Amino acid sequence: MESIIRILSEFTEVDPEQIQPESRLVEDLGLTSLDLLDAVTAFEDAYGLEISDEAIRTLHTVQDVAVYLQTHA
Amino acid sequence: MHKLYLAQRPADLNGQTLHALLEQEGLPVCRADAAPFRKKESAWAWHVAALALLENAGHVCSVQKDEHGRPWLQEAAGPFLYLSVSHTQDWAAVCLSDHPCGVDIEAIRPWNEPVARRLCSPAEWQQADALSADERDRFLTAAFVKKEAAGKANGKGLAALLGCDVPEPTALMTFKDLLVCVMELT
Repeated sequence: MESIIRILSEFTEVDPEQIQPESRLVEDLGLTSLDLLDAVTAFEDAYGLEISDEAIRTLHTVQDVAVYLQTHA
Repeated sequence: MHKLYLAQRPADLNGQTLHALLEQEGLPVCRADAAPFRKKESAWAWHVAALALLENAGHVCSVQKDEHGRPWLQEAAGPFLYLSVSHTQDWAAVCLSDHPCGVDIEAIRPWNEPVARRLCSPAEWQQADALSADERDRFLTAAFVKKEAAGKANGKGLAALLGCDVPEPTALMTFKDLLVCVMELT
């Protein structure tokens, strides 16, 4: 979870301490589509996996990202 | 038919002073679900939207969302029934249209290959790959704003259009170091 929060903090400029598992990527963290595109690529690099375009549509919260990465890494 | 508004947030208007100004004017501060950490950018964009609505409808209409999440104007007066809002850095873009529409504004930016490959259709990538670095950055940013605007207009979002070609936009323009795209569904 720590590395996910670090990556999201980098793209949203939100203080890592304010990012919680239940934080919504768009509504709470202000992640734009462009940020999401960059962040997904950063997750792929960090975790050595591919995230499909279909999967991106299912990532709504920080917890969603964590679960996806845990189950696919 | 559409009308496009571009407005730069004054440098001395931070989130707090903008909030106070909008409350004083009785204008919507921002959507209830606007991201708190980027409030000043979002609030500025929705302030511009409110001014656009005042100019065109004579009052600030209620903004509703349809089943695809697209904003529309419940109490619209005049020809405009739909709006779309975008912001980047300190610029806001607002589009009013008589059809479902999407607007996107982005600064021309560098793109790394993995992100660009995910964004582009095979034909777009082939075109991009043949360009110089500067031309490629502009081309890829244009590809992005077209898809983002199209995703807003059809209500499916950018993710549904990654790797796909999209129809030619209603308008695509360069403004300073920004690209602005309007897509209307007709």
